[in-house]
Amino acid sequence: MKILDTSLCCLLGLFMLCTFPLAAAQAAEQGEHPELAPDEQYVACSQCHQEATPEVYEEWNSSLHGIGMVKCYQCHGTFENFHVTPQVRDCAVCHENTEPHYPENALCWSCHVPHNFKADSASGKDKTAGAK
Amino acid sequence: MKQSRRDFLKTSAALSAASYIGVQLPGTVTDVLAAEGEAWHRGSCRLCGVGCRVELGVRSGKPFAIRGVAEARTNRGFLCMKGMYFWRCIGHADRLTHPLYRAKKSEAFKRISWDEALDIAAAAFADAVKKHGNDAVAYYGSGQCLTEETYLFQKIMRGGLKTNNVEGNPRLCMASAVGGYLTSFGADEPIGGYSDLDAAHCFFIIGSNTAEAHPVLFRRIMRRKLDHPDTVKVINADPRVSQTSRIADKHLQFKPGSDLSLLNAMARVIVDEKLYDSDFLSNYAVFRQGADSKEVSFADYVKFLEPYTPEAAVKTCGGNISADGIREAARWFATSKGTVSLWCMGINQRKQGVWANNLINNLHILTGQLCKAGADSLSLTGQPNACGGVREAGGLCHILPGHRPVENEKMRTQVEEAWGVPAGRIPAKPGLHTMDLFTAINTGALKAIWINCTSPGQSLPNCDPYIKGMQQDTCFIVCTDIFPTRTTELANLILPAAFHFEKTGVYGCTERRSQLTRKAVNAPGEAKPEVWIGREWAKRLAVKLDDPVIAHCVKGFDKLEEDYALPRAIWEEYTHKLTRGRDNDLRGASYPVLERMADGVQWPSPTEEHALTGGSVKKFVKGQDPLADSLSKDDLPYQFYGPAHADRKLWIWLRPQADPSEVPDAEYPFYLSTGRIIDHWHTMSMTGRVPELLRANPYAHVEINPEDAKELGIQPGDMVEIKSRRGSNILPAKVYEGPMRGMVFAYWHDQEKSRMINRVTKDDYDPGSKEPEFKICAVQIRRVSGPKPIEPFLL
Repeated sequence: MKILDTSLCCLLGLFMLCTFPLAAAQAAEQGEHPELAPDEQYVACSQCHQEATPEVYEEWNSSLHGIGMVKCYQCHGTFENFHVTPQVRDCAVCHENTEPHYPENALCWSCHVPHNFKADSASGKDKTAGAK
Repeated sequence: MKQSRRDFLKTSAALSAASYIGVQLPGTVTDVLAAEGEAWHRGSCRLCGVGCRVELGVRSGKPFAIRGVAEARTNRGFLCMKGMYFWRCIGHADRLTHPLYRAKKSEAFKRISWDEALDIAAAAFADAVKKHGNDAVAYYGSGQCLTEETYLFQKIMRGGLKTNNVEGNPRLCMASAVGGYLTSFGADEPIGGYSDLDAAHCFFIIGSNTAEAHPVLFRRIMRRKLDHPDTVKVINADPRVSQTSRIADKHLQFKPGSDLSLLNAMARVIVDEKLYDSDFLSNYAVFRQGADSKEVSFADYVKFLEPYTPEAAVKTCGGNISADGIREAARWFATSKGTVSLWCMGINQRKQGVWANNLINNLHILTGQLCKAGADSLSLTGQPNACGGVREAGGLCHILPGHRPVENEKMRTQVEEAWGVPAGRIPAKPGLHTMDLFTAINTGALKAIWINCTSPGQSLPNCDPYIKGMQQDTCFIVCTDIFPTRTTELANLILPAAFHFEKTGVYGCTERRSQLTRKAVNAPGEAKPEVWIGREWAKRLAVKLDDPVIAHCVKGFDKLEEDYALPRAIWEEYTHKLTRGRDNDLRGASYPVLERMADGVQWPSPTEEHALTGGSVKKFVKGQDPLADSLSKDDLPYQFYGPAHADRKLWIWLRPQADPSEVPDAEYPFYLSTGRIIDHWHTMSMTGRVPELLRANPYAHVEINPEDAKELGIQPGDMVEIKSRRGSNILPAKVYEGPMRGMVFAYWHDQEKSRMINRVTKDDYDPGSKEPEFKICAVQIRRVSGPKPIEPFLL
């Protein structure tokens, strides 16, 4: 179910990414969010990212996190504390005592690949059906 | 030796640190694991009625994170974003920290001491009583107060000040569900609970956007559905397509207010196709009709249903309703191995709220989808302690603690004897219900009110006249709260309250489960727990009114230390003296027992032994509910001993379609409905102060169907006026395939006056439950301009 919205801020985000691709790419590489003015920050992550990173949005939206409304900022933070790569401890807020099923020293997302979180097919196991 | 999960997480934290680039600000969620000098304190979430169990991480006296409790039977470790972040309110810079006072509402507030504040509060109430009588004062509490707070304040008001003017904001959200349960099942609160979600084969979700209003329960339903895509059916009935609809096999969209016809049509199919459970009906049910609850026959019920054919429902309901769709929904409901209905404000906040509740309960009684695993008629409670505090501990004008109607002399006598107050102390008549209470402020009849942990200045329907009333100097207003709100700005006296985890007490959630939260950190400044505030106020009231009975009401709690001993003593009095022998018997759920539980105890639970198992998963079922065993009258497995039905039967009600109070017409052609979104809680005084949550939904929007938007020339982001006979708002438009044609939906969390949608809603209410019809009124919609820059607003 797509929210049809081409609001000003979304267009602005898209405009910025089109007009300043180098700056945005550099920011992303450094794990930072492209800089936005304070009023531009008052737009839900998904609203811009539906246009700016549509594959990531669609993957998340179709995943258990998307259907269950676990939103971007819960893993990635907001602008002041933004991080591209969450820590395992961020997952642990909800998943800390998940029955141990992981290979040793693996990070959660090495099997539960963002943003659909289905276990990587190379591991041979799809965990999402059985996982709580 | 295999690594423990905890060790793994510690190790991986070190591994992932290298890939983590970002500023580690105070208040991030990254520090979830225990380390040296950290402690985790168990409690309940502060927000909705799910009752998630959480642990607050504290380091050097300061909170730094929240995590879920995996063993808890409510949430199994999962949290929504509000649960993750509410700890940010602890120590927030905007916290109220000192008593504030002004004699007149036109004056500025001045800081005063607690000694002065308590004296002023006592004098105001005492003067009002002396000059105008006991019913010139009132207490208006909240489903977010701890049970100990609600119980103590209502004892002071009833036993002390001799008034039943005790109300709470659950009148605005759950009163119709209470009325529905009492008239259908003879007892308040669900028969089953969350364990039924994991065993259900059919979910009937009506008038609830569970995905956003009860996210962690939605997760359980989502998981059940996705794990069994072919054998589990989900029916979502809502005029608006919402996030909940994403897992629905069938979405029934109908004109607001026509759901009574839809529910009767489903009953008609069940009767026509003989899908009812004859044994269950003959053993457990009767049929009733009318204001005098006249018993009628099954044949009368069949005759009553004659007009409610699926084809007729199509005409009444409009939307996407089809006769085949109704038939299929009814068949799924009736024939599944276990059906759970879930509903919330779409059903409760209605002129016909009690009737709508009855009609859902009817379907369960008809089909025997009750009492067995995976089957329940599960009213979702909005607030974390509407059940435990207000509904169970005497927080409404017509009920005393332990589900006792105040009009019943025997019940009043029981409470007076438990309190050791003279006979006749508690008035025989119910007090003013919420809408009458605030009307009495408007007329000048009410002279003093204590408003605790709620903001009627924003949350009352058609709020403008009530705001105007509260602005008058004729009514002295005391507010206990943690942040400034649209109501503290109307007060004479603002008292800073301790927040969750800054005080100790019990919350009772949707599924009859009482859970304890213990103090973990100190409150800021001079903020105090409400149980201390109430006790000290009562002692001064006793002096000013020269009435030792008022002092007697708190004598058993005097001088007790306020962080643990005081709330514990209040809980013990309430559970041992007031729930003993009642259907919500909580004697087994002592503080020591609650402290041992990962989660809590489901009543009834008269003994500690039973409480330690978790209590009664199902009411009325022998072997699961100790009262079903001890009060058994025959060999049947289910015993419906609820206090409101002397015949010990479930009642199927003959309730006709009846229109909402205000429907669209030529002048006001759109339905307006309102509701919450996932990131914000109610009036956003808490969630608006968390940057993550604020940015997700910084202000209210109005959702407009794309076809309506096209006709009105409205583009996404345009500023739109919504105007009713009462008031107007100007909101940015979200053009969204959500509300059906002819309907708009606005979010109600915004504190900014031009976006406060309760200035537009209507304050008519259900004649039985007195709950207002927030969900339906008639409006005009007009494009005002293109998008404008909007600032989020917080008082």
